[in-house]
Amino acid sequence: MRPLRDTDLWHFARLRPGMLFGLCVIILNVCLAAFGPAIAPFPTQAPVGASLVSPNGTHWFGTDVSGMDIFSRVMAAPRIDLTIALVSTVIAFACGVALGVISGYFAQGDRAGRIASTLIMRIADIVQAFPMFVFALALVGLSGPSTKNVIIALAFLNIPFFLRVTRGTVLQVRSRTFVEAAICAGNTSLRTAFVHVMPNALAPAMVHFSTTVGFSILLTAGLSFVGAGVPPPTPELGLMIQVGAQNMITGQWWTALFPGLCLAVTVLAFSLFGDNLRVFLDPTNRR
Amino acid sequence: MRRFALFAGKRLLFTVPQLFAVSVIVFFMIRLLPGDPSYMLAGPYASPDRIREVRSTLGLDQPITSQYVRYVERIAHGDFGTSWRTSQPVLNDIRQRLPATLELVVGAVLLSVVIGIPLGVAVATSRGGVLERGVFFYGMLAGSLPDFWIGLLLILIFFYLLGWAPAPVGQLDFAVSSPDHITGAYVVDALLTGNGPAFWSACGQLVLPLATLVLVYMPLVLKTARSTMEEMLLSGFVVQARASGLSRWMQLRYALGNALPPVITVVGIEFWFLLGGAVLVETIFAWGGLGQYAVESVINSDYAPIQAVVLITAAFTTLVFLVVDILYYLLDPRISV
Amino acid sequence: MPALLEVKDLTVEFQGDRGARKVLDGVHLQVRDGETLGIVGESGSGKSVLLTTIMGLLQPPWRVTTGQVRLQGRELLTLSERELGTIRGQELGLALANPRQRLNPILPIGRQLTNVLRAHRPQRLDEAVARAAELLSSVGIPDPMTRLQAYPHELSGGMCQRAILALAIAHAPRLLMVDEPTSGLDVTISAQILDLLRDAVRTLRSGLIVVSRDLAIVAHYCERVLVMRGGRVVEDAPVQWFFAAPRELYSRQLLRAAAASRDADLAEESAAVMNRASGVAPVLEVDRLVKRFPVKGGRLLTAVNDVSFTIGRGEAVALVGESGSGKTTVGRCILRLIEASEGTIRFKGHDISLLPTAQFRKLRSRIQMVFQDPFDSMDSRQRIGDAIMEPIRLTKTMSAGERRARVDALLDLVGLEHGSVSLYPHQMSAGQLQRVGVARAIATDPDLIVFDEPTSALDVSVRAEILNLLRDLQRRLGIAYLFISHDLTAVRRLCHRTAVLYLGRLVEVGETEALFSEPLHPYSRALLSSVLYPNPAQQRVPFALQGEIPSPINQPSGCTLHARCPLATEHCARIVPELDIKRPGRRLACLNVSDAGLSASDHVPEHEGSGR
Repeated sequence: MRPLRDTDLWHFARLRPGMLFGLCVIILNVCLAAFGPAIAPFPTQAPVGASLVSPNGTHWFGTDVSGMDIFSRVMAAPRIDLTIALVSTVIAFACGVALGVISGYFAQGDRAGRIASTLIMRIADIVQAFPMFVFALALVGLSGPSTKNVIIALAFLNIPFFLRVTRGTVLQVRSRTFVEAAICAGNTSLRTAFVHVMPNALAPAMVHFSTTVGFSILLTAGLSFVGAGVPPPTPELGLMIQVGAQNMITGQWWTALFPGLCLAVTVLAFSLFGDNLRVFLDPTNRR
Repeated sequence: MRRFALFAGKRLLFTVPQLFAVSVIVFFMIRLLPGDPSYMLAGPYASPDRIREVRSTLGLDQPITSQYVRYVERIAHGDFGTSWRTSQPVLNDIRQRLPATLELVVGAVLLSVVIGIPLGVAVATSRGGVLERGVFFYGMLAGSLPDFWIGLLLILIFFYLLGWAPAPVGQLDFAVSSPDHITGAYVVDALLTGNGPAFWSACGQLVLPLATLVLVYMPLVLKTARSTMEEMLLSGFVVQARASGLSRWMQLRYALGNALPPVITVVGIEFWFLLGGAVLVETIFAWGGLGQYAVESVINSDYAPIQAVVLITAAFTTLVFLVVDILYYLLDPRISV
Repeated sequence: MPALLEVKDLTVEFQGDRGARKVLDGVHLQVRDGETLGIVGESGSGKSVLLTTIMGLLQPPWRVTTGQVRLQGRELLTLSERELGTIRGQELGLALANPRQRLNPILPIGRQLTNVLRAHRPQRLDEAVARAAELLSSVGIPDPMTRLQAYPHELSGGMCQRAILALAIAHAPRLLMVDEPTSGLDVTISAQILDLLRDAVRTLRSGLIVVSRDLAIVAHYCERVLVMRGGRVVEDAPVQWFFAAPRELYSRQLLRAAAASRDADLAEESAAVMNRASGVAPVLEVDRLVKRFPVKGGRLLTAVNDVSFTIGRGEAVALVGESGSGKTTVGRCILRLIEASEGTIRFKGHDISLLPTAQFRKLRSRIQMVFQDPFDSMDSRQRIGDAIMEPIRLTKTMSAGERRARVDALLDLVGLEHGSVSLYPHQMSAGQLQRVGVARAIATDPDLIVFDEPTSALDVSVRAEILNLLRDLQRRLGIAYLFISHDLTAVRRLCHRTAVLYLGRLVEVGETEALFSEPLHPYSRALLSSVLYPNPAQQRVPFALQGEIPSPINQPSGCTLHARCPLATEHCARIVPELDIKRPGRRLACLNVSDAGLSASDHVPEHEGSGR
């Protein structure tokens, strides 16, 4: 794989609508996370008008049952959703990659290394034996619904995925002869593993990073939707859909439609970006 | 055949330590996480004596290993404790609710397979066209649609706007009484007992939740079937088969045989995910399944049912992956015993 | 009479993102009935695309723009897929390169054969099975009824190649086309496959096209040769004429690069090296080295078995053998990349086999290694300069300025520009990268360099340059070499002494020139007689071994060669022969070759054709 330059990425993105779309939505989300609550036209956690007003010139997305402006709340939502998803994914990425490098690099090493490697994998197996959503629900439910606990639970559940993709590539990279060349040059095993092998094994984890951020946004919203995530009246997409759900069945479609649409578009953007990043990072896919 | 028995036996044996580890995690989950259940049970104004009493009835004052042994013993006897919210033994609650969830999940997985694989193969073999573009865009959505939102949209369109679907009130319409209990899944039970009204009502109620799950989770199967099939059609042995004059049909069979194992893995993953992920759809459709039970227990800090649900879904996961591995073995001779 | 196959003015384009590129450009060729045509060219010359086009297997983004392909007067390019289906496999047989990937991994070989048999001639399954078994035995697969049940992953590379050939000749095609029939196979197996191919075509009386990058194959098995370069036919001539006097400049370059010129000075020099080295401790003494690997089912694979040899100061020693002989494992044990199971390795008189890892790391600057695949042995995210500097930085104390000066000096030594330091590996060619690999190895002034097949991943012309560089450096710096290779022409050019490995055991050790001109051990004789030189006049005295190399997991008892050896007696199955001195400077492990050497009838003439 060749080293990256940002200009390459930009050229690549321009040729691919999916990548461009993903990139734009992600940038928009980051901006909203930073400035959304400040630039929203209405307060985001208080009633600002009549209950269940349909979309109009003042309330672009209408108001919900307690009279809060949905457009303003949607603008403010990335601050919660994106923060939870990003922080938890960064933690999962760091832990998962580190463990993946160790378990992959030492899988064929000496006895102690092999034991450590197997142990890491067995633990990952067991964590993944639990269906993800139920496990997340139980973890957050038992430790109490709060932003911090959602982050910890999501990070914990995502570690095995990063661990696996990294381990897989590390095993491949480990069998290349440059690893032996590095040892011959006088590197210690740990230095070889983290200085030479890890940078060459990061690509799949990076691709997975983007997809996981999207997926974590989805999970966060799902947890809040069933009442086991962040507490109301926080402007959060899952909570907004939950509040709107009853109204939706009786025809006030805007209450849940717009937050859901934002959620879908955001998650789609992250997954498209990830998909295209994989194509971009894989030289065999490019002609 | 002997090789197969050996493989299946070994693989089955392998699930034992896994289940053991699962039970350990479930057991310690409650004890390691912050918050003491005895405070919760005794109420906010309980005296220290009262709390001590609750702790001793829960066995929390004993050494942790003997607590664990007792826990495993109880589970072995089917005793998952009592829910303090429903005042029922947890096992009874689960008996009622598990079939409902399985009905949804199994149905969704089966439909994903039946629709997703042929569609994926069809797209991989046809070049260009509307079908390919449509499937391409649909496949992009894989894993990024919020299922609870799609469910709401379907209700809005098919119940509120068009009036085709029944009100989302659970597994049966209000006026219909439930069929005799055989398996617990209403559609199956109604069919077995020849209960016409219940059968049609249950089927009608099943359509929207099932459609939601299939719509949201099928793309994964579809995408995998398509991409592995495309890869296999370009692989060395299919080209050699073509060069040897084998018919298009035979070439497809060669490719499909090699494309199936990865697809099966993905189907297993879908099953695994839905076992937990159906929670949200259950909630919307007031399905009364295991997931909804878990949600209600979590919101009310009802510990025994949470533990039981986590344990049971994990056991099911183990079972699913056992089946996947065995199918994989049957399909791919390169897997060694 | 029309030609069997006639290709006229064939042009094929590759439709890429950056516009169309011609992959074949106005190709003409003819094959007559029963004729054998060899197509040679380096990678990217379009020779494989040509076969695919003739077969009608091209798929977008490749496209035929102009031209005709006529088989017995019938135009193939305009036929429909259905019509082509009746010709493929029946009249045209094709065996594609990389046999292991060409067999359906989830079907037994027998099913794949019967499918092809029944595709063209409807027949009952038991008839087809019987015919499939016949086919397998006709391509030299022993015990065909059992092998019909085997899956491709249970077969060796040579067996897969045979199975593919069986598929291709199933319907006795008028024309058989074979792409790279021996790539990835060991020399003794290659020889068997090529002989088989020639015999099959003779029996079937069909035409044959062999595509290869190896001129030697063409020299020995073909009647006519077609040289391709960049999608064009450069030269088309009968084999005798071509090798005697190639008309085109490119053909001459190819031939010169492929020909092994023997280095006349090497023998004298080797005597001088011996003299100099006597009296001082050798650089490396390997004593009774054993390496076993655990494999599935709790069994052990003995990769290296009781190997002992020494390397003197400034001496170049070759370790040759086929795959599975354990030659690479020996090298890795010396470098402590893997740990030996038994035996001692002494470096300048000190036992290094039991040194703790941390202490051995300090010794790494004294023993270095150069690897087979230059791309694979470079960290693709490390600049060339950093790669060369790394061993210096980690094992020597030097200022940054000194290090930079040292890197520049090293680049001069290996013939690279100073500007290369800022490049990444993908920006260099394979040959340049291998020079970087050499620079990295000599960076710390080592006493010994282990070369692991340093030239086998390179194209012919680059190979010659690298060999010259290694030879030159060895003379100037006096570093001892352990040269691990199956490229015998390279060994003959570079090494003072040669050791032959078979199934983990040394079977013969001696001075290179003497050993090459008169190999004594049956295995050495077979190995050397399998080597083809790009010269049709080379007299091959076939000294064939039977069957394939046994698996190192179930090693034969006694002498490991006894089941394949034509000289074997009943003692050979019981007694493990020791490596004894049978002549001055020659050690040998065989019960049946006496001290006096060979009897007259066994005499192997010198393998000529190596010197041009």
